[in-house]
Amino acid sequence: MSGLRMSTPYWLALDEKLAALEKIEDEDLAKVKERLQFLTKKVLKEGVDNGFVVTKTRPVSPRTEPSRIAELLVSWCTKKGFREALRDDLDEVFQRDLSNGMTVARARLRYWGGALNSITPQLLAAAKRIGIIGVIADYARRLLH
Amino acid sequence: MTDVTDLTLIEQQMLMAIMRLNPNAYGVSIRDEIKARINKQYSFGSIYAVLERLEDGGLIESREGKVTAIRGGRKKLYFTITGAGQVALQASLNAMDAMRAGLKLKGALA
Repeated sequence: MSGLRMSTPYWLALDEKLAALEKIEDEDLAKVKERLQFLTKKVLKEGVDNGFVVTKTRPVSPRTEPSRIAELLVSWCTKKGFREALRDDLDEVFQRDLSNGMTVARARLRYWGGALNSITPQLLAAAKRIGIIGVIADYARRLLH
Repeated sequence: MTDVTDLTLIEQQMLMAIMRLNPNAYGVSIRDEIKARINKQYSFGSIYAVLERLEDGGLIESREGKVTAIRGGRKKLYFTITGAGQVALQASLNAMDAMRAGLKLKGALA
């Protein structure tokens, strides 16, 4: 051994030592991490068993779809030509609101706003043109067609 | 004298938004484009009423796009401006420019 130590250049020996040290440190760190995880789980389990720790499940979010009534309203009150496109656009904005982190309740409220905004001009125009009774008659006629 | 087609302000805005977004102009993108540029948010009802009018007049055309995941597997309805639409828009903007020429508005920058 002493012969080897003598013949090994000092920088190579240092390099080997550093590599060995790094390996030991990595192994140690991994062991420490593993031990910590184990202890954390153990402490939490004991805490739950003894009633010191209360676990809560995250509430399930309400359904991530716009209001069905608003959808129906849009379907009934818009012209046939662009009905699907309009409804899909409202739906896309709704999904975008959700993906931007908006709450479902707020996104649905905005959907309602968009739906009412979209149908109001058409309803008003129809009401002006033929009166409210006419609107109902017009709707009934469209249903029968 | 240029043949001036009477386009309303919202019709001009829609046509220009469709030209800017070409070939990806559909309801949501048109509304977003107008909102981003002039900070005015039209309802989809107003947008589609104008689009229908423009299509009836032959100024724009619509085509169905491919199915996209963002719309739950449904197709988008894309709009493109026709040649007649571009002529009408140009005429309408020219008329506006002609009316504006030489006017000095209070508070204008130039």
